[in-house]
Amino acid sequence: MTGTALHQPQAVEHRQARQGVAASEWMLERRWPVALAGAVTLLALWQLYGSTVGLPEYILTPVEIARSAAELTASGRLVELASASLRRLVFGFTIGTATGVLLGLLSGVSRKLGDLLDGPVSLTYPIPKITFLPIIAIWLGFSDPARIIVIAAACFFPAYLNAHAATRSVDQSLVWVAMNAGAGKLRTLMQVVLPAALPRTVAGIRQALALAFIFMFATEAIGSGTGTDAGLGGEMFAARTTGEYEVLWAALATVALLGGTVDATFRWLVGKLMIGQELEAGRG
Amino acid sequence: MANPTATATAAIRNASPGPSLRRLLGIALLLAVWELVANTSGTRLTPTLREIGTRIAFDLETGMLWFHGRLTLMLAFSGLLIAVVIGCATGLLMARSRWAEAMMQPLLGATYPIPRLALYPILILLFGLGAAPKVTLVVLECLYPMALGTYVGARSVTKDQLWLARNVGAGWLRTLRDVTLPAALPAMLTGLRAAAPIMLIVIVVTEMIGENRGLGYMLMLARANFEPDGVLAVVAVLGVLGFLFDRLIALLSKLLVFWERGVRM
Amino acid sequence: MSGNIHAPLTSGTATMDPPADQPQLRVASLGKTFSRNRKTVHALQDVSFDVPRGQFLSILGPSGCGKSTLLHIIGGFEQASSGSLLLDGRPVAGPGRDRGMMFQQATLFPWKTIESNVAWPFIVDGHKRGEARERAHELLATVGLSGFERSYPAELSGGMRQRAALARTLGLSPDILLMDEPFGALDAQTRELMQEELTRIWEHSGLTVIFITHDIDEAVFLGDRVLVMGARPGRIIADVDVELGRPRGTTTKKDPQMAEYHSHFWELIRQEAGPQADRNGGSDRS
Ligand SMILES: Nc1ncnc2c1ncn2[C@@H]1O[C@H](COP(=O)(O)OP(=O)(O)OP(=O)(O)O)[C@@H](O)[C@H]1O
Ligand SMILES: [Mg+2]
Repeated sequence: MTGTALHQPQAVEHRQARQGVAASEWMLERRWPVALAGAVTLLALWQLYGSTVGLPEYILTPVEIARSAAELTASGRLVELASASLRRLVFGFTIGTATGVLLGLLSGVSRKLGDLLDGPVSLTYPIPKITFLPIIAIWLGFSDPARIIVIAAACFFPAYLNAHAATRSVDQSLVWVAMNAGAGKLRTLMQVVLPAALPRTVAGIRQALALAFIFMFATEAIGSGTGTDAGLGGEMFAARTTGEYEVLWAALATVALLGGTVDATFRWLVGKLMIGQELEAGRG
Repeated sequence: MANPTATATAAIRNASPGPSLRRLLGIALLLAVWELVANTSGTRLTPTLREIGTRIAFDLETGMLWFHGRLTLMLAFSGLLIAVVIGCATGLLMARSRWAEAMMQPLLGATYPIPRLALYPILILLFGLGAAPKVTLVVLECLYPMALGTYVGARSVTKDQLWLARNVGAGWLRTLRDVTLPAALPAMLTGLRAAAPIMLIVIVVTEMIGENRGLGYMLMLARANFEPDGVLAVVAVLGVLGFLFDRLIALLSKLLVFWERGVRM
Repeated sequence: MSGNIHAPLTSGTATMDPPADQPQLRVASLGKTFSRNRKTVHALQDVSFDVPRGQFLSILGPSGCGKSTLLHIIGGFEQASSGSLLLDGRPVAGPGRDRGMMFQQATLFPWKTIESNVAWPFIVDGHKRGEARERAHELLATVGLSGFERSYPAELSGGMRQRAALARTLGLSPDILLMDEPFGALDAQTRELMQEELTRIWEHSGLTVIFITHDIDEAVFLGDRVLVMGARPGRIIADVDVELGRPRGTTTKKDPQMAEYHSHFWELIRQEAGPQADRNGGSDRS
């Protein structure tokens, strides 16, 4: 290895790492600083436009929204509305998702049950589940139980379908390996099939969570109750007609905050529980 | 944001094709239970299947179903169409530009769990009651699966494919048309398949909330008039529509993404 | 035989040529560094060589030594960090149809028939559809794919796909063919057949070829000359003329000189890799 070079190296530095390039590179690598900067800029423009040019009376600026949200939280009204909504959400989501996951896993393992449930599920799946509300309301009125049943029905489908598909797509050779090792049916199910089906099942649960929020809001908006029982959704529509715009915006902000927080918490929890497994599988 | 419809059909396809009898049995069982309840209760609260069928025929005859259904579908498809255009553009931009990607991807991820439906009252204040807020809401909801589908699809274009296009001397428009879009098509159709049921939900919900036209209104009207058969007739029609949309998009995928069949043989 | 093998880069064939004959491609002190996440990889360092017109140049080197990077820079897809690259005396500005690139994986569009894939460069170039198809048929005949015009890539074997990709690349009418381990993903038999096919096509074409491989026998069998690269940083450690007669074919592979070249290159690579590679035996073929 001597005299390698024929020519004198004429080093032409094409890309010098300038300071600005490095900074933008840092932001692009992480992504969230760019998104945060974008979001903050948008909010600032909104605020600026509102306080200089002015907005219609029904559109509040971010600062006004924050102030009214703080006031309504202090007075307890927002908390009561939110807890009425969350109560429905939690019950509906829990019942629907638990049923869905359980039946999905079972029908994934048992061909017979799978075939039996497959028909009714594919028959009811295309129906927009919100239409169940007026049907159930025929018997139960626009009550909490009616709303909870509808939320549960909406959550059932993604939970069931994903759990079912997850169990079905578990690598058969994994099961054979377990059987070969002398594992019984129950042990194979608990230690091989369920863990392998977990990522996709969890993705289904996350879809159900997003649907639960949509249906929480929708069931409250339709045939809404009065007072704090209306929940955030009902209250927003009431506030629109009465012109209490600060309540409307504060409730909207609360819905957004709750949706974002619950989803983030869910993902954080899942991240803690499923180390090494792919959570994003369901986010295609 | 996986695709529940695709999941549904995947699940259906995964199920063994042999004992379809058992699957029919499941449907028959469901309907039989309904019939039993309907016949024994004897009240109008639970109409029999026959009564529901008669009601659908009646609503068709009076033109009610056509009148309201047409309005619903028109708004739904306008919204979907706009969402497809904006969503594809956004997805392509995200796939092409790192800045757009860094900006949009976390934003879409963070706003995904927030129900856009909550914006409806504000959209009504902005646009007034009527078509505009509904279509806007459909756009807002369907944008997510479309943008993400296109983004994922456009990102599946390999570096080799893009370099090949540069080697051949294809300009950006040619590359978009002949390389990026075909490569993104399967994922875009998956996005569309996820968007279709969302479109139906959103439009029906908005029609159920204080409105005087559309299938959602028809539903609420029948309820207010205490006509359970009328309610169930609309529900059945919506179910059929949802099913048809899904089949239609599945068929479209099969025709357009013909090349994937060969690979999966 | 030792006379044919000169010490590392004392000269390529080019410097032996009369000075009036300018090399078609001149690579001078080329360097390339990648930096990502504060880590810097010296993919190429001080790489220099000349390629005269019509030469079949094999570039041999272990995985990760920067072979692809070098080819990508020559193709104009990536930019060098330092050094210069002259094509017929002019600096390379970007990709162009004068350099036809063939990738490791046959980069065929799965949504186009074989015929449309091969015809695509003509369409992009503004040819009429019928004319483009005609040219595609001719090219497909050259690579022995007549009868498969209407098939889709997914319906063809790996070897057939590479033939189609070769046909498409030839359709660019390039001056230089850049081939990045095009047969790397093929099974042993198909690979040998493709090598013979390529030799046949090249011997009739007068094209300049830069062919990347990590298979010693492939490099020797195909090349007029072999550059051997070492890794970390990627650089040239040897430049050897292959003096096997032409035309080459099945008999060439049985030539005892092949074996001599093989052991010579293996020795070079072994020295480069260090003593620990010694245990792995004397062949890199799998
Ligand atoms: N875009 C990139 N970013 C960062 N590092 C890169 C990039 N491309 C290549 N490298 C690094 O440069 C080195 C050379 O890569 P290159 O692909 O040229 O090797 P190669 O010789 O073609 O290997 P192989 O035989 O496996 O194809 C490797 O260490 C690789 O990790
Ligand atoms: Mg390589």
